Amino acid sequence: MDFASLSAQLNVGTILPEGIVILTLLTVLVSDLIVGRVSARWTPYVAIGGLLGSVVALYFQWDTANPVSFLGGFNGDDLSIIFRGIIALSGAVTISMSIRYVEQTGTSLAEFMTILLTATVGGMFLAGADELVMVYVSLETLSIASYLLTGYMKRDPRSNEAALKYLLIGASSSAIFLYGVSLLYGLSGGETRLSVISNSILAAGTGESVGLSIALVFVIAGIAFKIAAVPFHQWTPDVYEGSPTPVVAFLSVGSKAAGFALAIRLLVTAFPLLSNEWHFVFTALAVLSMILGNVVALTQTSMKRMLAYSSIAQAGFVMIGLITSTDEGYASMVFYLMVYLFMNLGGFTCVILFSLRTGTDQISEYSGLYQKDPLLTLGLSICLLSLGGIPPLAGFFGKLYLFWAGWKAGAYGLVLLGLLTSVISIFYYIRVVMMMVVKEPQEMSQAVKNYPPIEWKLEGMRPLQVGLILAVVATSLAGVLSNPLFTLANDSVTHTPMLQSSRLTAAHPAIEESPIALAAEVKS
Amino acid sequence: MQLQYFLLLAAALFCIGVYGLVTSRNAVRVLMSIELLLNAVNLNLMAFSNFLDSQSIKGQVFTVFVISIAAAEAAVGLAIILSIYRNRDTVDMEQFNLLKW
Repeated sequence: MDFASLSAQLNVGTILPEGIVILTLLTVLVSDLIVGRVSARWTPYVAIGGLLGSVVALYFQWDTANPVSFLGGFNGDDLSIIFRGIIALSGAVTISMSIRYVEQTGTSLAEFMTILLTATVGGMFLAGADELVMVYVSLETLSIASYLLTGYMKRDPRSNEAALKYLLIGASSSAIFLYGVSLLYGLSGGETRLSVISNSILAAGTGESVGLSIALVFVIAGIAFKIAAVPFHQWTPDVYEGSPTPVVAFLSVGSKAAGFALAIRLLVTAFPLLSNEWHFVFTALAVLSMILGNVVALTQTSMKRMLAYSSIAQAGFVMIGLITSTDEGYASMVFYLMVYLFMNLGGFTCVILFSLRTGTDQISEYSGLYQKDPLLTLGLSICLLSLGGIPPLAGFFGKLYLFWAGWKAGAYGLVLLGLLTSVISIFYYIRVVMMMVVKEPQEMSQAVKNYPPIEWKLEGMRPLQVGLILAVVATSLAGVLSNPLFTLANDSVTHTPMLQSSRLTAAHPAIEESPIALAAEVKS
Repeated sequence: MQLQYFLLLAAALFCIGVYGLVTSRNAVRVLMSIELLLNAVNLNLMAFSNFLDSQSIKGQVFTVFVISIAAAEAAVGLAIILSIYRNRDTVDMEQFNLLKW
């Protein structure tokens, strides 16, 4: 068998976007080896270009006729394309904001980008992985690269400590996940493909056994760690505070999106038999995340720690979409994650910019910033207000769609709790904005008083500025002009066979259509 | 021999690993406990593969992947422990309190 027919049989074309990222990664690594540190002048742009190229390749794969490749190991359906796009974009924005940051700390930029691109590749593969071995390998590619990124500032004891905590908790949670996966393999009588597992379990008659419930609990523990849901969130604040800020930005968006992609695929395809149970567990996780994330964020004094708790709370909101399990629910999840990409990365870009200029990220140090740096103040305010869900910014529409989908599916308690906790969340976002804007000049903090003159000419500042402006513009306009994004999110769900077939075969407890609606359907 | 014995052995090993994870103060010991967890999974996979899937032995292939990834994870873990030892002169988990837990 020659190479061409082999690649046609495996349908290799579906992983072209990942291939582009891997090639970029190798280019960055090899040019750093050959040319030396001088290459850091242009390799970041190669990396950003490669990631954007992979997004373009993803665009051309939209609605492919045959998304399943590698004998069922990888499934490039529309849902995975959206998630892979989100992960690749978050990688690109992260690189644009990290150039100056890494240069200023005096570490090697090329190595940083190589590890970051590896994490991106891991996340992208995870979003489409359709087989247990593939899921595990890509999950670990993402995780191990994230541990390395977290400990990248190796002279800084805080970064070390964050990396150690992240590694130990992450490795043990992935081992627990793996134990659940091994039980799944056994219960299905030796199947590793997700799409076959549930039928095999049904055929083997092990669907009622305790083993399957244990497998579910262990698998959820692994997923909940990745998306930082309470009570699996303990690592989040420490890792966010200790690790380099660009890494935090990637973890809070890219890694989290990959976790959600895994959650949808694994739970919907492999656990339809325990549909009630996993909905119940995720409801509990969502309730705890929304309450704890938002309440604890109120008391934080460090900006990065506050954003850590805010990201826990945001994961709680997104889980509402997962729990409703309707087309609208999944679509609202995808839509919210797209919006979250812009607003959270925008927020982190501003935090990086502030810490580059002043060297601190305490919230109290931001007071009076408006007098010295209006652009930064504007950007940070827009992103934070959008995270809090103030209309007419993008975050408001994202939350509106999530809550509407939840309400329509009958998850009233969850939606009410979501509304209540987002009111709480507005307090801590507004507090930062007030601090920056309202304070009189004499109330300025020491850091702002010594604010350096604004300088965009320095090496690596331009991409940061471009990233900031793009994120802010997207955050402010994506709400008002959200129609294309809405359509994209809806199409990604309705064109994905996995989600459509699961709705026909499995009964979802959350969907209880009212008798009136049913009668209307019958009449028409 | 029956499948149950292997699964029980694996479950026991897993529990020992979790116990070690919870009680160890030394970071290297925590890493070793994680290795125990992964080996429990390997036993599980091998047992299932032999008893249920002896034709296509997917479990054995899976085990090879788990072993190689566990090696990568241990390498990264030891590297991080080494760098923290250079900065702090200790690998005691209770001493790592720069970030409030």
